[in-house]
Amino acid sequence: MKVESIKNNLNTPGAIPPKKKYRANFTSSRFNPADYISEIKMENEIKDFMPSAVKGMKRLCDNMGETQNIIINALGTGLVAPIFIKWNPLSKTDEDTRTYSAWRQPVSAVLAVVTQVGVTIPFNKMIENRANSGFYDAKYNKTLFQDDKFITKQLKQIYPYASKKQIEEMTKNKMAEQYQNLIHMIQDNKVIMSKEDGSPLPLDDKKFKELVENVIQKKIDFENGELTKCKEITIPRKLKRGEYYRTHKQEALNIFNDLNNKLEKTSNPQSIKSEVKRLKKQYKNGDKELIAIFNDILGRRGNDDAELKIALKDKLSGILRDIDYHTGFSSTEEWKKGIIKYEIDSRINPLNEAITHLKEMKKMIAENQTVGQIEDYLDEIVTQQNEHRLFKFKLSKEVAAELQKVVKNNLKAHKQITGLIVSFLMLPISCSLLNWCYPRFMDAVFPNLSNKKHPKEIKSLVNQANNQTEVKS
Amino acid sequence: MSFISPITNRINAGMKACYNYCLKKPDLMLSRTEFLDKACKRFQDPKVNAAWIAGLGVASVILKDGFGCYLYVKQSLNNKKIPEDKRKFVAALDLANGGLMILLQILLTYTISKKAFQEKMFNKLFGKLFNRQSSKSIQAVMEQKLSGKVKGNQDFHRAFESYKDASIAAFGSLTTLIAATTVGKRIITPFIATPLADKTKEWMCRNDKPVHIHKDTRNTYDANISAGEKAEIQNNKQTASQPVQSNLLKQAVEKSDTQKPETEPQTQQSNLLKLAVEKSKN
Repeated sequence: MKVESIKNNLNTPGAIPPKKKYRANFTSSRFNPADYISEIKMENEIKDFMPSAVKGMKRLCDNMGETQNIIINALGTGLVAPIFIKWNPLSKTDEDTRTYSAWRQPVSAVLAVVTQVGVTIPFNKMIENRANSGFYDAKYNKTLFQDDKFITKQLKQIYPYASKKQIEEMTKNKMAEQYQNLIHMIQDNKVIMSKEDGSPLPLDDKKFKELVENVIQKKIDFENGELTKCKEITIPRKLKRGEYYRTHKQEALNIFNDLNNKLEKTSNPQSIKSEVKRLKKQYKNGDKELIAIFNDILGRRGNDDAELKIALKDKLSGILRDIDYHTGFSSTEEWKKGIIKYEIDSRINPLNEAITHLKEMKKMIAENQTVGQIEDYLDEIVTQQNEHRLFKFKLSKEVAAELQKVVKNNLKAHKQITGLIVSFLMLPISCSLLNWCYPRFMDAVFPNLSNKKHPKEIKSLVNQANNQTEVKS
Repeated sequence: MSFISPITNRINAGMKACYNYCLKKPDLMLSRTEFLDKACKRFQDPKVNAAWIAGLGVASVILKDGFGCYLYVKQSLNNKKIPEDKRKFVAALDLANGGLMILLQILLTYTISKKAFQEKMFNKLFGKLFNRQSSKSIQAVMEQKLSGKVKGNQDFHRAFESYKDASIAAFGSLTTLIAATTVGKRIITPFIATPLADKTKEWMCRNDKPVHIHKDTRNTYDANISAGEKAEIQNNKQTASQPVQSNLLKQAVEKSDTQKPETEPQTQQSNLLKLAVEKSKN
């Protein structure tokens, strides 16, 4: 590929933000690119809390590409399957024939690796490359969010003498630049991708609106789910537990104060868990809610004693705080009203408010307002309230993520159908290849099993014939 | 060199045209088909369209493996390079293997490889690590570690859910790899397919004349003795069992064999033998 065309792929007109009527304020108090990082940071922290079995499983799958999958598959075909053909106790066919047939599996496994690595993987890579370079229509176009591998490859061709570190840095910058451009375009409601030759390929206005509406609707559905969860699970659970604390105040205080004191003194938090298990047995005929609380404590965990102590302390202090809170009301009616009011104020109202704003945002997009204008509208609402449910909801960022997801899923469908067609077309070739290779392989390696005679056998037959002719003469 | 460049240019142009017409254009045309458009819409929400996606997988298995099985069986049966006495068993094994593989893959699509099933299995094995109490434990520890607000932080919940989803996906691909690809396809299938191939071969041979097993391929395989050594031993055995005859006697027998008609060979041969013996005595 020529350098010019590569540059075209990286610096397409579509990738340059169009003249802006509206430009988002990146220094606003609400938008902070670090938000994105914080979620990743959280995920990294969460990873540390997982046992090695889960971490190992995830790492194995993250590092396992298509090639590794094909190799494992081939190892199964080549090494495992023949065992069950050759030494099959259920088969009545003679061992020679079974051995001969079993050897078909390793031969076919080798050929499968050759054809799959040689055809299927390059085909998938070709589709990805075409999506990155803008060969397809907007549905499969990744020119606004190209893969790091694609950018690195292109940069290596433009700057052949750049070091690995420099290329890495340039790739990172290019990706950040592309992301920023994408955000600008979304805020302007003008997403312009690019074709392979560098000409612009705008995303259909109707499709863009659908995309934004879809994002907002997903958020509405999520908030509605939270609302239902709050009404149907959280409030009844709180009332149930509160009722136990109110009716068994002294018992609860004795048990949990004692446990809390023991936890403060011990350096071995596992002993507290053992104590809870003992208490669970002791109170097995007691209130069901108490058993549920014990189970909650036993469910707390940490990777080491220090972490477990923090987790248990958090739970026990929470229980003691709850006992204090629930028993602080003078009458049952007042308590119930208080709990419900608290939930309405702290959860239901904010959720309802968020849903109202989201619906308003949906209306705004239908009225042809830009995503940037919608963000401005949201900014005005949430700037003053750090605790607002939509405080971290950045529409342009969400739309960008959704657009990437849509293209990714479209490509997945494309790859699946193409893969089916390619493997279908490859079948006669791979089948003929196997039928050509297999008997020849057997003749060469296992002549005892095929009609082909072993050189030693041929030699002995020749000797035999020579002996006979000697006798005759 | 100059006379080579027009040729290489032509070759390049030809290859480019071939690439355009065989790969680029069909790919672009495929990407614009209505069917692919429909498939893309279904793939947007894999949870809702799980049945459609599973159906597509099953259809592709039936089509691909079915066609593959047909080709393998047909080519094996017509492959003259495979010994005749083993050819039908090879083809029968291909047929049994192919048929079972299709059935097994359909079964796996709706069981082990099904996302809901994998989620259930994951929750049974690792559910404790992702439940409410576990999440609260992590939040409490993280809040101390990061000295920031983690409890009730939406970012935390998103990250936790995303880690859970990724772990389920990893678990799903591993179980599919182990249970479906290795155990199902490579252990169970050949284990059942081999005895099934016996029956299939019998069925294939139902109208055949008795098969002549080639003398050189009948149970010649021996892990301990090579074929040449085996032949030598057999040869020695034969020569040891034969009575010692003089060259003259052999010649006489051979002569008589060539002179006499083929009818009643045994009696004629014995008479001639007698005559020859008498002659040699005289």
